[in-house]
Amino acid sequence: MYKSLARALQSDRYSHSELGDGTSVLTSLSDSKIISLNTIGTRIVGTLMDNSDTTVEQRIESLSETISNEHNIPVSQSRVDIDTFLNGLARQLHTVPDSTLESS
Amino acid sequence: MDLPDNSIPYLTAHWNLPSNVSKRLYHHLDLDARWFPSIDITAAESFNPQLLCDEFMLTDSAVARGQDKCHELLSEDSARKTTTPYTLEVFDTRSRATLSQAALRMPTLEKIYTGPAPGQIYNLAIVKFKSNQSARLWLSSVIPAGSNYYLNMLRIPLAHAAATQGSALLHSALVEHEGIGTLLPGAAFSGKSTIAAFAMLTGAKLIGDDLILVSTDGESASTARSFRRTLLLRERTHHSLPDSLRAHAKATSVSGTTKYAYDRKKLGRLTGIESKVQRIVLPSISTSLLKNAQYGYQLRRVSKATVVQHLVHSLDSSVLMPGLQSEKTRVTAGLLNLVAGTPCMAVQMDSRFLDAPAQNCQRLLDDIASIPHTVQGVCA
Repeated sequence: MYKSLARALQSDRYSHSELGDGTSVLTSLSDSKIISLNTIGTRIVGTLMDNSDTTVEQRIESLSETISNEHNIPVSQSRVDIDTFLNGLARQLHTVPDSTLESS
Repeated sequence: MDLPDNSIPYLTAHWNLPSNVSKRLYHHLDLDARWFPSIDITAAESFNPQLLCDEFMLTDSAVARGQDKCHELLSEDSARKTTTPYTLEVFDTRSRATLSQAALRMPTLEKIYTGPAPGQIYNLAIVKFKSNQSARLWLSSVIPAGSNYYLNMLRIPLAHAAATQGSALLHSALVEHEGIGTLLPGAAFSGKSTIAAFAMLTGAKLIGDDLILVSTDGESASTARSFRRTLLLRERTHHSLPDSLRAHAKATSVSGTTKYAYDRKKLGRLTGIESKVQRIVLPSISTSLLKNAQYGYQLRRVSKATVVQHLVHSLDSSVLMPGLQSEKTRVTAGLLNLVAGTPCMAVQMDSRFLDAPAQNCQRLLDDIASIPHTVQGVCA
């Protein structure tokens, strides 16, 4: 669902800087726009930017299970929260989420 | 009180300024050439744009006509002169618009020093970059003459020049307590000047209360220094200071509000010129009484991402001028490094802070100094 967002974040248009306390900022290098990320947001973006062999969808699924366990909430709930966050991020970055393309 | 004349190393020798302007800058600014080693600053007290072009006014159509006239004048000049041309960009500091760009020979600039025509007074500053043979000329028709006249006239070009060298001009106070420099970035009425002023009563050094230049990369990274020589305090803070300090203040009107201007030179060793940023604390004022805040303040952890947002918002608006993207990117990256390597907190103060300001400020600064350098902020 988030391949294009992941590709955008992995491109040289954005810089993701972790600040040492679990939080981070995403900087758009074209206009220096800054998006602050809290600890969960930092992990989600880190997961998206991860260049491992697994697919973006697999990594997001895995993260939603981890967050579900950490916060003692249903996996479905953590997945909804992650989707909401990523859709909001895509809007901020003017990147159309793949899910939108698929449903249109 | 000991008030040594040369306690603050103001330097003007490297500044290429008309003597009358140089003298007044010396009086108003905390600047020295180390911060701008690659540029000359040329400034004029006032500027009659009619000497550069007949109808150089701040409207689109007139600017277009003005540009034509400007080019005409420059063509005449280039026919006569053989000196190296500079690229000149003209900005309106009010609209942040680029008014014109033109190749220009520096002798042409001398023409604008001849004085204003009646009713046509513009403030002017020129930053000439030695490195790439370019210059930027900044016009403002809106900055009124007054105690901040020279500061405001040069603030935007100097902030820009700082950005080209990786330094950020921030709306911030800076105090040094027990050798630890604490940056207090914040908007108006956030309490930064209050902390800075009362820090003087605690043995801490006040470096600046409003505008601070922070070097964000290179060997001098995290070194910060004051930008303005005069401290401007609001009435309540002023009246809370002891008579011995208030004696050095002059009432002045700033944007319709009475403030009290303190000459740092007269405050002597209570102030300093430079410090290393080792803590960043975001100040704010609470209009209601804080719970569990016996001394009128609460110090709490804050996420570093929040601090970055705060610092970026505290950047002087000059960094948002057109054509400065690379500088802004560089400064932003530098601020990220600064935040990543510095313990960050937030402090909220209520009216009880001023009940015993010296003692409360002492406690606050002690608390800030006691934050271990390894502490990491947490999500607020």
